Amino acid sequence: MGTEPFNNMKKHILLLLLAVPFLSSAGGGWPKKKGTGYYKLTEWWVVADKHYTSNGGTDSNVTTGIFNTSFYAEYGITDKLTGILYFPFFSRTFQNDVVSATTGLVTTEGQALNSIGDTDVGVKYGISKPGSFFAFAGSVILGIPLGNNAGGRDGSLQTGDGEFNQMIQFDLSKSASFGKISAYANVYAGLNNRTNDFSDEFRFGGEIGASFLKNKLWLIYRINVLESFQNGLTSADGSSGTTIFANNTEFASYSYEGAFYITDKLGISASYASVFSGKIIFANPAYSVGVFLDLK
Amino acid sequence: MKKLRFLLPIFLMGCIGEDIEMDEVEPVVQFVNPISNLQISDSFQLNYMFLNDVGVSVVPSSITWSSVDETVATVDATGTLMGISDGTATIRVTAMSEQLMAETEITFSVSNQPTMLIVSERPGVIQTTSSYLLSGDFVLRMEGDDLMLDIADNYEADTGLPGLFVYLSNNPNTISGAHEIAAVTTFSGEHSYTIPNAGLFDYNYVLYYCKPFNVKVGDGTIQ
Repeated sequence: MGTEPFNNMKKHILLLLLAVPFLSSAGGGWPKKKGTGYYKLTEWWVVADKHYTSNGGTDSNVTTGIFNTSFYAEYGITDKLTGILYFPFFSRTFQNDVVSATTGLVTTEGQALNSIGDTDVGVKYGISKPGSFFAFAGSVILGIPLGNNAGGRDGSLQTGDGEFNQMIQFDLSKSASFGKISAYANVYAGLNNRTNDFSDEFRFGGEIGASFLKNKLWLIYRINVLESFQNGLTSADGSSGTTIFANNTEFASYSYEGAFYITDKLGISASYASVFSGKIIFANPAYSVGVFLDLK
Repeated sequence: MKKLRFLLPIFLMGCIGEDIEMDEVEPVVQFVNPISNLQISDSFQLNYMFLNDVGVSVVPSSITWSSVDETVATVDATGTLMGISDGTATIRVTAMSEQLMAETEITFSVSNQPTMLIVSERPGVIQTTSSYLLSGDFVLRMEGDDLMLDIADNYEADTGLPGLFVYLSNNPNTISGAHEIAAVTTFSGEHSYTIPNAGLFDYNYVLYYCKPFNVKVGDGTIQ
C-alpha cells in the first residue's frame, strides 16, 4: 500500500444529498496509472421527510425518495491523466401519498419519476511528481443534464437540475503507514460554475481513511462543504420556482464509508452520509451500497 | 439470485408509501350571504355552508332554523327570513351530518330601511407556520363579480423558498379541497390576486404552500 492507498480503496464518493452528484474527491491527489481502472456499481438513496430551510431551520415535508443506480469509472489514460465517469443510468424519485387522518382518504396522490440522471464526465491530472511529499492533482468535471428536470404532475419531480455545469477542483493528499495500518488524508477545494441562472458554488472538504485486515478493509470519514456564491436567480426572480433543485443550496456534511476487498480486484462498499447544517436540502441521511472492480 | 436478496429492502423503499396528514377541524356552519338589515315585510333567502370535519362543504342530513324573537323576524325551514317589526333579530341555524354537528347565529336589525347585504372587507394576518419568513396583512374583498385578495405593503416572504403557492381554503391544515390562486411571484410589498367565481364568505383561510416539499409554509385566518 504505502504511497498509493487510493488505488486500493478508491474513494469514489457521490455525496449526493440533494440528488446533485458531488464527486468530491475521486482518487484524491493520486491519478491512476496508465491502463488501470476502477469501476463501481452503486445504489444510492435518500428518503426524506424533513429538510433544511433557507434560514437553516428544519421543516417537515412530504416523504420524498431519491434512488440512483449508477455506474462509476476511473481509468488511467496516462500515468498523469485519469478519465472519470459518473453515470446514473437509473434514477428514481417519488413522493408519498398524503392520506387524511380523519377520513382515511388519499388527499394528495403520490407520484414518481424514473429516468436517467444527471451525469458527470471529467479528467484528473496529476500535478505533483511521483514520490513527492504530497500528491497534488487538478480535475475538471463536466456536469451533463441527462436527467429530467420537470417531471410529475406539476414539474416538481426531478432527476436532474437541467443545467450544464463545469467544476475545477484541486486535491492535496498524503499517505502514511503505521505498522500494519495504511492511512491517508486528503483535502480538496473546487469551484463549480453552473449555467441556467443557478448560483455558482465553492466546494471544499477533506477525508481520512485507514486500512485494516491486511488492507482488505478500508474505513473512511469525510467532510464536505458546499457554499453558494448566491449569484443565481432566486424564486423571487422567477427561477427554480417549483423545484427542489433550488438555487443557493448549501450544506456541511459528513459521511462514513467502508470498503471491503473480497478478492484482490472485487469488493463491496457501503456508506452513510448526513449533514451538520444546510439550506434548502433534505435533512435525512443518505445511504449507499456498491460493488466495485479494482483493476490494478 | 439468492445472494441479491439483501437488495430487496432497498428497492421496496423506492415504492410510494403513505404520509398521514392531521387534517381534522371543527365542523362549521356559516352564512355565505349575511345581512346587516332586513326590511320590514321583506323576505330574504339566507344561505349557509356546512363544512365537515375536514373543511369540505357538504349537504347536512338535517338543518334546523329558529328565530330568537319571532315578533321581530321569522325564518322558515328553508332559511327564508321575513321582517316583522323594528328591532334586533337573531337567527340560529343548526346543521347535522352523520355524527357531526355545528351551529351558528346571525344578528341583524329589522327596520324600514332596505335589506342590506354585508359586503365589507374581511381582513387577516399572514403568519409563518414554518422556519421560512412569511408575514403580512391582507384583505379579502369583492370587486364586481370577482373576489380580490389584497396583500398589504408589510408583506414579506422568503425568496429562497422553492415553489411557493397561495390558496384559499376552509381547512388550515391541508390544501386538499382548497382553491389554488397562483404561484407566488411577489416576495415583498403590496400586491393583489383576482379570484373569479368565488364569494366573500366562501373561504376562511389563506394558505401558503411549498409544492415541491408539499408542506404548509404559513397561513392567515380570514376574519
